[in-house]
Amino acid sequence: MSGYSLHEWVLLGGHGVYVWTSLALCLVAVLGEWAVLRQARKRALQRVRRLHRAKQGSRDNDGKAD
Amino acid sequence: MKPSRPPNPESGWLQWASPRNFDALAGRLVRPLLAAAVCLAGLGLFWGFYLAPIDAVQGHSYRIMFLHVPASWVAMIVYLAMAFWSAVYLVFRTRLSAMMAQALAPTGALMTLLSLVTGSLWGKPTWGTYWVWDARLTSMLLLLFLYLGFIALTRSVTPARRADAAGSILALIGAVNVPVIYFSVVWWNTLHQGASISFDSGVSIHPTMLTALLLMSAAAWAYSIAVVLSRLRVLVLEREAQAEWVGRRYGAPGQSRNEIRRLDETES
Repeated sequence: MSGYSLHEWVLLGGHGVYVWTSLALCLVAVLGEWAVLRQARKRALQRVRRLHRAKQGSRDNDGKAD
Repeated sequence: MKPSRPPNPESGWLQWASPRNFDALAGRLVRPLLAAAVCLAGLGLFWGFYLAPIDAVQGHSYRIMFLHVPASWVAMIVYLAMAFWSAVYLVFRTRLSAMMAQALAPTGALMTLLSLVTGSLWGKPTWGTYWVWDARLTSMLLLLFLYLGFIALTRSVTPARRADAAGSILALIGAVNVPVIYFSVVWWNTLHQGASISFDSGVSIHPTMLTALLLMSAAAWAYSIAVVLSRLRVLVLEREAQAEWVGRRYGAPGQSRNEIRRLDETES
């Protein structure tokens, strides 16, 4: 492709629409998967912290009752 | 004769069967793998979309190969890895093996979908159609359904142990489809072209194209391993939320990466 103009590089001999759509879909899929995973980890960490706080709270209450 | 001692699960390779130890290891691997994936993909795209010459027969449409082939390879090998971990789960009943299989499935499904979609977009300018029911395409579609079936089964059955066992059996049965996909272009007369790189006939593409293909494949692998390890950590957090070590490692809000690493070192 080196030596081609930008216009030719975008059009890719009439196949640009297929090639660039494929690339765009791959990028969206990969970035989307990573974003979904980050959200899932955030939710899982929040749940762990809630559980941990609840456990700590019940331990503190037990200590006071003693 | 010395009496044989049972293996110590906290030493040697067996230590990685413990979710606690594996979570710490996976946490250290994810970022370097992602960085490697970004660098390799950047290089691969430059090689494939700028340096590689035009194909004499297919014109520029062949450049979809640099996306389609790595996605297809990852889709098939991830299924084999899923079947392997399922077999390990069924034999040893190690819960991390079942979690590993479940962490692999969504990435495998996504790669199969990308393989099918990019294949269709490559098929239109090359064959004149987006889809034909030929052996390679149909067996690849079946792989997508196997992945979706596995995900649906493991997420809908309770308790988790039963879901793990049911999913493992499905993964093992479905593994038969992978060699069918690979050899479909040999066994049947298909519209899909034969392999550009094979063990029998070697490499049939230009060296620049081969370099781009290998770079993009390495990027796909680095990304997939990073994502699978990351998903495995989420699954570990969800399933082991009540465990003491999870509370110690992640229980306090706002713990920095360094604090978590220090706690890991103190524990070990």
